[in-house]
This record gives sequence, C-alpha cells and structure tokens, in this order.
Amino acid sequence: MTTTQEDLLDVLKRARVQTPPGGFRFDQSLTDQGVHSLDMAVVLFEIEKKFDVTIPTDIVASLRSLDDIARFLDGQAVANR
Amino acid sequence: MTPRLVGIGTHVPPRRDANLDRLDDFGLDEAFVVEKLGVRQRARKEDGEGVVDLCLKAVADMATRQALPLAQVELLCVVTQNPDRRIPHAAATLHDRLGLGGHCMTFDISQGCAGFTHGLEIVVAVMRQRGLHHALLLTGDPYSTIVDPADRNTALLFGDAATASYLCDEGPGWALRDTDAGTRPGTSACLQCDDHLRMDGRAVLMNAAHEVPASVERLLRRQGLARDDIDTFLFHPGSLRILELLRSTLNLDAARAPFDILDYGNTVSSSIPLMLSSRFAARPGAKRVLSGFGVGFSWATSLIESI
Repeated sequence: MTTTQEDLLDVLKRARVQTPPGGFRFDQSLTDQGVHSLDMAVVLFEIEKKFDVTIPTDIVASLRSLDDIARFLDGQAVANR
Repeated sequence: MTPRLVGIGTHVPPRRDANLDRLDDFGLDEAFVVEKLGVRQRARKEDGEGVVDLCLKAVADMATRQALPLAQVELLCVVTQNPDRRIPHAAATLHDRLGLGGHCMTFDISQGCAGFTHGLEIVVAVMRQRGLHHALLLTGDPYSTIVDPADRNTALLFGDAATASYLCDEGPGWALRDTDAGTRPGTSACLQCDDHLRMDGRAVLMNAAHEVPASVERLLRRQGLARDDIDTFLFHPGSLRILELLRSTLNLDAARAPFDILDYGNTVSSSIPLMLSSRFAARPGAKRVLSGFGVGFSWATSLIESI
C-alpha cells in the first residue's frame, strides 16, 4: 500500500498543526513551513499510532518532509510483506 | 523506620519574562505559546543570584510551613546541573550557609527533569540504610543561565525556581513505596549543554511518549495497582504538548494529571515538587505517581503514599 497524501494530511490535522497559507508542500521540510519541533514530535507520534509502526530514534531527525515520512512508511509496508 | 516527605518549601522568583513579547522573534502566535507550549511567562532569578541563593529561599519557605530542626539534619542533597561553581559541591556551600552540623553528609546529584524523583529514591535509600532521621532534598537549576535567548526550541520554555523537601521518620507525610527508573540507550544527545543548552525537542517528546507511559504501567503492575487506585499523576510538565500526549496515552484527564506551569515555565528538577507542594494535603492511604523525565534521556517514576 502506498501512503496517500490524504493519510498524511489527516495526521497533521489530528496533531493540530497549523496549516500554512496555501497548504503544505510535500517536498519541503515541515520545520521550514513553520512547524515547531514540539508539533513535529506529535506528528511522528500520531503517525506511529495511525500506521502501527515504531519510528527508530536514530531516524527521527531524517524525517523532515511529508515525502520523507511517506517514503519511510512505504518502506515499512514493503518490509512487512 | 519509614522515611517520609513531611513538607516542601518553594521559591519561584517574582521576576517574569513574557513569552508574548517574543512571538515575532520566532514566528509564533499566542495560541501556540498558551495551548501547545503551555508557558505564557517564565520565572527568572535576579542577576547575580545563584543556585545557593535560590535554595536558601526555598529552605526559608520550608521553615515557615513545618518545624525544621536544622541542627538535626543528617543528610543534605542538592539536585542541580548548573551549580554556582564546580568545587565545592553546592550541598557543601549550603551546609555552611545553613549552619548544619558535622554529622550531616552532603552531596549533589547531576540530573535534569527527572532529578527530584532520582533524588527522592537515593535520599530515602540512604536514610533507610543508615537509619537517618532528618534529611533535606533541594532542587535548583536556573536554566536562564544556559538557555540561548535566540534558540527557538528552548528560549520560551524554561523558568527558574528552587524547592526544599524535608524528610523525616515521623509524623504525617508521603512515603516512597517504589520507583521505576531508567535511561534509553543511544539517546544521550537529545539534551546537551556546552556553552548553551541544545535540545532536540522531537527526540525528547518521542522518547517521553514511548518511555513514560511504559514506566508508569511497570510500576503499577509491580505494585498490583490500577490507574484508578492513584488519585493524582504528577508528570514533569515539560510542555503542555507532552502532558497532553501522556494524558491521552494513559487515559487521564487534566484533574488527575495537572499542568501548572503557564505562569512560571518548566523549572526542570523543581517542577514536580512545586506541583506536589501546592497539593500536599491528602487523606491517609492516598497514592500518587510522580514521573520525571528528560536529560539522558532518562526517567524516574515514583509511587508515594500518604501516611
């Protein structure tokens, strides 16, 4: 299964992250789009809950954009087949 | 003998730095500061004040709440990671300033936001081991001295404060029943300080979300207790976001897992004793969970019971 943009936007909504004017860009760092590190952590925790995955501590810092997160989740899905 | 915490003195400096004055500096809005960070203003010590000064004020406050026989104090422990000087340890300086006796052992503990619960575990263990009757556990960690005012992750979070907990072996108070403590492997870089504090906020919150609920559950399971047996959970209020995650994971409401720091900030090892001090009275048999977590990434979760 490929992670959809809707899935990720739903996570951002659950995490109560403020949407920037014009909406989120998927290829750009969320931090650069104004998401505070506190919110980033909640986003990642919500992703763990929604997709039933554990994000290893050593890759947390590498998940900067929504595209990064989607690639991580797709990789998890392939690994679990 | 059963050592118990019989009183907590506190000192929160009256000076405040307002976070709402700095919103433009960091591109933040009031809703973020109040509803997510949970810190509207930060307590700040006066210039030139140090850990010893703050702790002395907390001890003075303690003495107004409960008779404090300083001449009988046999153990003085200070929890701090920002002592006024490297040598001697802060507890030795405070021993001098308080005029304590030659029979009183002194030592500091270098711990962060889990410092109070680590200190409680250690002080109670030493009291039991050596049959001590009177001990003081002080916390004081003025992060205003190490925070970079331009750092978006930390500049609006931390406040200064100190607390003085008096433990003895008689009278009503809170007895320590059990502690679950640990350090998550490979996470020591999440909070570091050379010249200034550097915090990987994402890593701290993720570690807290993973480790703290698990620690609480281990402790309760070991004691044969359910969450409903605990009247209040006093989690270190790192930020409102962290507290909300813990409440959500453990299915607790704000009354049972309070967050008090809106008007003084995250006071590191003083945060839990500050919260406990303001709700100290309880019926005998009441049980509370105290959980500190942070620098390390380490945690210590304690079960206390009113006796």
